[in-house]
Amino acid sequence: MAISFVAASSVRVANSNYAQLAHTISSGSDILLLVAIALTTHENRVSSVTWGGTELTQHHEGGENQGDKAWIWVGTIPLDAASGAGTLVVTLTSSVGRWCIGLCEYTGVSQAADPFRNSAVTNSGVNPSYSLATATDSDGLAVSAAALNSGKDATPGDTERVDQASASPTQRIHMMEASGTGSPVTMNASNFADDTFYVWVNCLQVPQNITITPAQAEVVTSASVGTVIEGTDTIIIGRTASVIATARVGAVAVIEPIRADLIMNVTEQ
Amino acid sequence: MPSETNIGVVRGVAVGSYGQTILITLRDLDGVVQDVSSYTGTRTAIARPPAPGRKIVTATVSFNSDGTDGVVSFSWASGDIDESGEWELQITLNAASARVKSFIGRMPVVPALQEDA
Repeated sequence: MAISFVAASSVRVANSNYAQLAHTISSGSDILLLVAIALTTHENRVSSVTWGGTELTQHHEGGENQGDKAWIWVGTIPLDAASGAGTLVVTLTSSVGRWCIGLCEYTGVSQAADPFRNSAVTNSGVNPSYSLATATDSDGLAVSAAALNSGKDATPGDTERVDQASASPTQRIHMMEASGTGSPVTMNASNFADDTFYVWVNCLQVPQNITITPAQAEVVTSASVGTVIEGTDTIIIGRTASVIATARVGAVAVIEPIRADLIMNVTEQ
Repeated sequence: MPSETNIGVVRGVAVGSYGQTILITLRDLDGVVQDVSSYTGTRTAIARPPAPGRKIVTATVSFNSDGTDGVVSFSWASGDIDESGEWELQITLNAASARVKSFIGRMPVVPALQEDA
């Protein structure tokens, strides 16, 4: 099963430390929400990001560590077999004048706490154009998020899912993905200015199956005390599984009863 | 006819033993199994130790299945069978308006080679 983009949502926020972003989850399986937040400065940090009251897992936070520069927060939450409308709730440590939130929903993604296969690639710079390629993975989808500030913008070279700008002078969040699984994501950026953008890139992976095979399972109708019965099962990483790998026959003593007859007249003669 | 070696004799109980199931088949003098399924009230096994003046011990009796086969079961609790020798045993069954008792049987309790810890 390949990773597939489903839908995206985004919102811009002004003069607040709190925002909500409504989004309707599909009824597919192995769902993952990828969330990226663009802030103005590193001094105003993300305090909490929740979906349905559950905190997202933060995967990256960084930016130009000075002054009024681009700062990005990236997190995910797996939502296996979830469906319906929900709300992303973001809280910052303090009010920020202009900031943006982007959300991308994917299906067919590993439900593990870390759904990424490759190391994150992050960069910021001053080049007017920028091309960034990830290591490819045949079972993965390269995704990227970029935070830009001070009214700057970029033209992504691959599939863009979110382009959300705040009020002027704009903060901006771009969320992109490669053209398909196994392909690198590139951002042939133009119009980047000095110290005003920060890019995060990584590679989502599909659910991983492992098989535990200590021994072939067999039907045991009787076994002596101490016999170890083993079996096989398949565990998909990131999913809850109950596995009985081994069972040891317990010691059960069977004591024959004492038998005897006593005379008792119950029925009439 | 039931086995003569076991009529009225409960063999196999040793002094200090407990917890082992004892199955008693209730028969008439012709050896016919008695249907005791209607005796759903109190059912008791009573054993009297051989030493004079000692108190009886009792155990709750259950049907091994449903009582139609005449088989009842019980077991002694720890401390009940505390001396060897010839014990006496009797089963009492109660119904709503009747009480029946078995003939008194023998329960020869085997001595122990060493005292229980």
